[in-house]
Order: sequence, then structure tokens, then C-alpha cells
Amino acid sequence: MSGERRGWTRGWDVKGAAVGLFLIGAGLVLLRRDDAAFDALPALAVVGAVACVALAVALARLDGALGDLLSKELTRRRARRSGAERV
Amino acid sequence: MTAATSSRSAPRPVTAEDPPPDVARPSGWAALRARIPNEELPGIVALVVLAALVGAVVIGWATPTTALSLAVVALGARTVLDARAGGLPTGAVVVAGVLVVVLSACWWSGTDLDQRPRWTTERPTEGLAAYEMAAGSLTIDLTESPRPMGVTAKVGVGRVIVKVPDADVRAGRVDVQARVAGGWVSVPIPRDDRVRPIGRDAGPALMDEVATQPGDAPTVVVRIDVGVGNVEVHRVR
Repeated sequence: MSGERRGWTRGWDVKGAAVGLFLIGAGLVLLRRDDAAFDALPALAVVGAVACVALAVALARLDGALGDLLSKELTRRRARRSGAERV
Repeated sequence: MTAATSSRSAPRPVTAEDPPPDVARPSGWAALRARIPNEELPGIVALVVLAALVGAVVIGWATPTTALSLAVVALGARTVLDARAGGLPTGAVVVAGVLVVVLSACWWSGTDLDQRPRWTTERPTEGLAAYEMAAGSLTIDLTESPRPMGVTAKVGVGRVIVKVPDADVRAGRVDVQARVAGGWVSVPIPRDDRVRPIGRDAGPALMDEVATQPGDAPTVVVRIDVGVGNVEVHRVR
């Protein structure tokens, strides 16, 4: 594919996704203000950061797999339709 | 025959007088949507959400703490969406990070961001009274309070006025100790009065502390702690 790949076709930035997921988690923890979470806040931050990196990688792979499936399905339908027109 | 056919099929040259061709242009919402690139959508949606949160706080549908926490979630979602497009919105991440630090610090220190400024006058009717407020003006009127009386007051940002009977101060029955982290404490005392304030008096300073000089058995004891602001002790004759 020649030319610059832009926008949604550029692929996942796993680092950005991990940061975003960590922010979402931090916002939810701050929203709940759970006393149990308060006591374990430092440990929760470390575990949360590691979990968010893993989640971001998983999210990127899942998104890629779903995109591939969708693309294949669309291509198959297009090929079937064009084949039917030719007949 | 061939020439006639070819002249009929050849397109007529376009002139300046010709009307513009009918091109299907999107209108209304579709036109607006067509002008916004896909990359900008997460940022615009995040801005709309943040504006809605500010509106919710102003109307009173959400507390500031809740709105700020939801803002962190919205900025995080925006960051994930931008990551889907391969980018990292540095500004949004920095803002969200600062919000997380501030909210965590408030949670850690027990500071309540949801309290609104108040302007109130309190006249304690029982022997012990304690007041606490985040911001505003607190007036403690002890002129008609029962004796003995003990009062504590903690104010984050604002002013505390303590009204005590002049006769009690002259008799050494009043013990006021006030501490201000950023501001000043004022205990106006006549020059010829034998009751002198201990510490600094009436001057802007950091960590200003003032206490009145009580007698052997003070019956009115007041302890005031102000973060930023001032404390005034008024002697009512």
C-alpha cells in the first residue's frame, strides 16, 4: 500500500491505550472512593498500571482480529455479489 | 454521416454563462460532519462531555468531586480512542494526570472539595462547640453564650470573627488562640489594657499566631485554625 497511512488505519498505540485505560481506572476508583481501595491505593496503582498494559495489548489484538474477520467477510460478500452479476 | 454523428456526440465546451452543475452537496448535520476529520472526533466529544460536566456542577446535578472524576474517565476514554488511531493526546493526558493527583491528594488528606463557601453566624448555646468549613466567613458570637464555653473552629479559606464580651477579656476570663497558615490574626486591644496578646498582632504574615493572655481560670476558651485568610477577635462592650 503506497501513500501515507492516516487516521484509523494507522493501528493501535499500545502505550497510549495503556495510559488511557489507567486514567479510566483511576477515574472510576476516585468516583467510588471506596475505603478498601483507599487503604491499598499505592499497590492498586502499580497493579493497575501492569493490568492496563496487558489489557491494552489484548484490546489491540482483539481489535485487529475483529477487523480482519470483518474485512474477510465483506470481501467474501463482494466477491459473491460480483460473481452473481457475472452469471 | 460519420462527421454528423461525431459532432452530435462531442460535448459542448463550458462557458462562463453556463449555470453551475448540480452537485449533490450534504446539508445540515451531514455537512457539518463532513467537515470534521475523523481524527478530531474524540477530542470534540471529550470537550462536549467536559462542558456538560461543568454545566452539571453549575446546575447542581453533580458535585465537583464527581464531575472531576468523570472528567478523568472521559479524558481516559478519549486517550484510548486516540490510541486506536495511533496517536497520544499529550495535553489531555497531562490534564487528566494533574486531576488524578489533585483528587488523590484531597482524598488522602480528607479535604472535601464539595463544600461550597458559606457565610454564617453561630451563637453556641452549649458548653462545647466545634465548627469546620472549607471556605467562607464564620462569625462566632460568644457574647450571650453560657459559661464555661469551649469552641474550636477550622476553616480552610476565609475569615473567622470571634465576638467576646469586653468585660470578660478585661477580667482574664477569655483565652483565644488563633493560627493562620497564610494571612493574619487581629486582636485589637487598647494601649492601656493589661491584657496583651501573645505573639504577633495585626499584620500580614505566614504562620501568624496570636493568643490572648488569660487569667488563672479562663471560662471562655477558643481555638481557631485557618489555612488561608484572617481571624479577628472583636471585643463587644
